[in-house]
Amino acid sequence: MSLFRLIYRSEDRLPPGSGHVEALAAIVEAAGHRNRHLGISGVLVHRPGRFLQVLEGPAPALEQVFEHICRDPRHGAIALMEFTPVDHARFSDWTMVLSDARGGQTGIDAIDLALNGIASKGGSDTLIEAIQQALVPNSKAA
Amino acid sequence: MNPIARLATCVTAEHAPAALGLAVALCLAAFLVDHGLGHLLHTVPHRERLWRWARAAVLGLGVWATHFVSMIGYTVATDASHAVFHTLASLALIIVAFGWIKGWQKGAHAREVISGSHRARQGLTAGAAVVIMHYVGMAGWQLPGRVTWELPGVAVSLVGGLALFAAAGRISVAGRARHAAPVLAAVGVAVIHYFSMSALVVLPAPPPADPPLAFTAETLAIPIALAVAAVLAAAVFACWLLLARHRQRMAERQRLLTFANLALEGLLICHEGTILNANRSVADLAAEPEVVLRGRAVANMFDPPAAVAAALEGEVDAKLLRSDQMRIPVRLLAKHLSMGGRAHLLLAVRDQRERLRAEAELRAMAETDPLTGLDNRRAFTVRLGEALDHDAPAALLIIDLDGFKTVNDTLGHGAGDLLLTRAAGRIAAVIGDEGRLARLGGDEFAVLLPGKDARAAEALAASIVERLSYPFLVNAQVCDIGASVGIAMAPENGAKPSTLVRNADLAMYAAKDSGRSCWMRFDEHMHGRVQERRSLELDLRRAVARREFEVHFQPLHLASDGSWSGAEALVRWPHALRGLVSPALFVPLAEEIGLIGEIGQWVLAQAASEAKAWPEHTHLAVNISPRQLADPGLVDRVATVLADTLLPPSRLELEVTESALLADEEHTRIVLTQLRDLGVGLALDDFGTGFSSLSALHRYPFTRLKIDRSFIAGCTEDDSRAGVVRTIAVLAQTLGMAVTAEGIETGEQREFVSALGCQTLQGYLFGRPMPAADIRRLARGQRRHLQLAEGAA
Repeated sequence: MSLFRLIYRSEDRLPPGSGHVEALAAIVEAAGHRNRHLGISGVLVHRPGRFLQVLEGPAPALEQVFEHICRDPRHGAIALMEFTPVDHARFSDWTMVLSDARGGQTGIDAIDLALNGIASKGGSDTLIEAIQQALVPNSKAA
Repeated sequence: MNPIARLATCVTAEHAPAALGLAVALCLAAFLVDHGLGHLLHTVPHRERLWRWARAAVLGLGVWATHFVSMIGYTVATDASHAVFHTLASLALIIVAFGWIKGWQKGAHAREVISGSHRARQGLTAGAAVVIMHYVGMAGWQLPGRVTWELPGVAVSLVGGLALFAAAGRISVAGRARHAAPVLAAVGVAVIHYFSMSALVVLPAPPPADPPLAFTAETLAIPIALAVAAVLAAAVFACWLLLARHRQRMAERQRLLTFANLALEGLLICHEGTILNANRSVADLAAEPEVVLRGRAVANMFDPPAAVAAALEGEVDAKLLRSDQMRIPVRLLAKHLSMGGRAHLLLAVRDQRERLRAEAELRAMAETDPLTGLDNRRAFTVRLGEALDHDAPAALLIIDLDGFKTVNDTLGHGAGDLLLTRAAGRIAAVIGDEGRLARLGGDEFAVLLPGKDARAAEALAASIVERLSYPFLVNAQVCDIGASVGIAMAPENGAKPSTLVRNADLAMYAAKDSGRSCWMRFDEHMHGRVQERRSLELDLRRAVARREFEVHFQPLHLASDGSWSGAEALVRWPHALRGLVSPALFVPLAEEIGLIGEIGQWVLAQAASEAKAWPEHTHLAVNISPRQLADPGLVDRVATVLADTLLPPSRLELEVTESALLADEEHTRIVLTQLRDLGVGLALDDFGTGFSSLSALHRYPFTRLKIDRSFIAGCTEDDSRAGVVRTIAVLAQTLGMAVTAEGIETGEQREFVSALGCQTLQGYLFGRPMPAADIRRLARGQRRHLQLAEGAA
């Protein structure tokens, strides 16, 4: 079965307040469990008020997960950025990981641009590289 | 000496034991045989009078023989004899009396009511007959001596005997006790006889001077033997009858049971409220062996118990109560049944579980949309009616998907169905358990929100619109659709379901009109707009009937030298009150209500006869609507117009919009080819606004492309638009098509599109649409211009 990649961004509609971090952790845990089951890898990027998620896997599984997300009241203003066949998975080691670190970078990066609906030069490859860079300190910490 | 002690002496010392035994046995036998016969005869048809007297004779002989056997065995006076007259008279008397008394019984039977007191009176009378027989017999007793009676013994004999007979009669009415009646009666006979005999005192006296003809003990034995024989014969006959009867009853019961076990239906055979037999089906139904059911009270098996009796009147629904507390829905039907001569109740027990299950399934199927599993329109209408019944506030949302048809047409019905299911899932996720979602059909859904105010309804509608605006991924394809939602509030926007639904529909259409992917709440102005549309529709129908239209012409010019080369015919509707009605307003309406064909045909005929007067090098362009294109008669009608007006086909060009091509590709291709074969030119109008691609154009026999005004406007400033126009022009030329640019308003645009290769130009720069008279003037000017040019040449 051919591999697809799906990228979307959305608004974080979690109720704000002290439980926010725990709620995020719960999302990542539930999503990780589901993704393992469906054979999906991916990463969830969180920046204040916004989500960006990259998912890789077979098309039917991605359709199912995306439909689930579209019904989830914790996500709003969902915008599909990419749904396309790809040669290989870029996040194959991760069933789900939450990243809101900036990987030592300051200022506006490709993720910020993407979260605001602006494509970087170089398209989704640039975006994915930016996410991978952001993940590095996280994985080191782990 | 008291009567009891006297009786003891009398019985033990004054009677021969053999005679005493025989007498008592005979008496008991007679009563038992009679009882048995009566019981048997009760169950079979028989000649009542004959049998009554036969039974009276047997019983009478028995009782009579009892008396005389006792007298023969009376040892106090062994040489006594019995006067023939009294002996025979007592026999006759007792037989007649019994026959007569049994006749009462018959009378009572006829009235179907046999009271206990009636039977007691019968018993009492029979007892009295026995007493009379006894004393008549005693009166004929001849012995040397005078007979006197002690009063206490006689009194006990009378009171005791009659009381026993009355009691025997009383208990013979019904029930098991009735079988004791013959024994009581036999004891009664014994009491009468032996107490009476114990009260007998014989005083010495000379024998009568003139003794009557009398039986001695020896001669009396002959009639007694005959009587015994008669009783025995009757007994044997009764036994035979009884056995035959029993066999027949058993056979019938077995046959019925065999039949009953073949039946799928549960069957119970009952007698007097008790189950005698149950077939296998009913035993299975009750989950108990057939044997266990026997002997139970049938009414207690059902709830309500009265259902069993009611089942005689017709089919009754009830519950079968099982010992495991299950209640099985059943239908009961009962019939009276005569079996072995006895009245039985046959109860049919029909299991209703399967039927009820099937009915429930059918009901569910009739109320469910098979694709989404949601309520369908029918179920929703019922629910809405119930919700509005109590005048409670409620909100109704009507949701219509935008752009669903395109998905269905391009990706197929399977993808369409999947998308509908997913859309339904998203709506359901939004409303949760706050409302009830239904699919009304196609891509239309409804949500009933009981008890919700307008704010809550709007919030949910907004959420539904948002969730349905997210893309759908179907079969690895991205489908962008959307939804328009109309909201109507009960009771203020309609207290009746039909009103509420119509108003929510109006609001939904208003949402669609205002750009889709949004929600609208119903307001009364929407009705006004509908009224307006209805009034316009009426006016339009009238205008078509009265030909109240005009044809205007917008000139076409050649890009090369700017000369006039023809005109596009455009319909105008001057309305007495409305003024000039915009074609953008009435043409879609005419298309919708099916008047466009007639209008289009009229325009074609008018324009063609006008264009006949124009110079021969000019051509006439006429629009053909999608609806006209779908009409199988179009080609004939165009040919007729050409023949009638004598306009050469090559001077006519029919314009078709891109959207007309979408409907039925094959049919459209055939019609266009036929039109082309007439020699008519074919132009594709408004190119660039629809869906068709240039590469698809070669499938249709178009002779011209008209580039939409939206490309022309701003093409002098925008490089990409200019690129598009150039590409179209080049491609059209390679396909052998001419190109017309619409909407030329400035000289700059004219230069620009001319340079890109467009041959024909149209727009306000050259002239607005004008009445026929003005275009005629233009034609005359052209002619003069041509003549001048020719003259100059």
